[in-house]
Amino acid sequence: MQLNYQDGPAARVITIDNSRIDAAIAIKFKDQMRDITSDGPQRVVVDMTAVDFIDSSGLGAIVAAMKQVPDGRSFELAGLSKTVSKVFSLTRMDTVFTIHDSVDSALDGGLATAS
Amino acid sequence: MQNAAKPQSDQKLHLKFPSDNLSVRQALQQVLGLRLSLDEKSVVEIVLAEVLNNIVEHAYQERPTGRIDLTIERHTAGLDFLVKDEGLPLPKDLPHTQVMHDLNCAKDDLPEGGFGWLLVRELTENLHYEWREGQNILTFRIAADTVAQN
Repeated sequence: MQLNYQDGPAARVITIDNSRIDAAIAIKFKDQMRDITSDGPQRVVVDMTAVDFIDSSGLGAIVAAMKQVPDGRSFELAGLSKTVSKVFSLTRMDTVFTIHDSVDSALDGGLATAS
Repeated sequence: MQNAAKPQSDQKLHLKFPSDNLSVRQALQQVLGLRLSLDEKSVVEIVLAEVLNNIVEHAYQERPTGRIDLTIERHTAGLDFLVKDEGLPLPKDLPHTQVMHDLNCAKDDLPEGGFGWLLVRELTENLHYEWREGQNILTFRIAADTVAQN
């Protein structure tokens, strides 16, 4: 799996290309997330638009990725599919994460000007 | 492709497959190929992925040669599932043990696991497990109305 990111002055948008986050990639996901959230702009917005499905291991990996973000930096999610949203709401993890409908609504005016 | 059985009708599907990751993924795809609504598809995928993953990881301890037997039948009330394997038995009452996560905790204390059976319990009805004659036997229903509500 490969995570790509793009920086604006205030936010880093990380794009997930995989259609599934499951047991098969959970550990790689967590490790790569650690690398790209350890520095950079204060806000981190993860674009999950391409992700159709997560299982319990994938959810665990996303929680782990959030926990390893250094203090003072956010870890927000955007563009959850219906199935992914269901997993978050059934486990009540939707109460723990900041979740946006889309990257556009998260950045409200675009990466260049987002604050 | 070792999946022996073909769908007998749109109402019933019986699959037998080994416990390696590829065969499990193919079986899941075959189930999702049934005529399901979008909502059904999403619930079936979540539940079955957890159940099959538990068998691969825990019952068969990642041994790829275990046997998994899956039957799905459609009734007016919903989809009835019967899943059998010959791996290690589940810890007693595990499917019904409520793991209550306290999420009002410090970030560092948030749980990273224990979500699997929680999802299965929330999305199924008549969840029943027994160990009989060397087999794990798990049955559950994905109810038609659960599907509509979620």
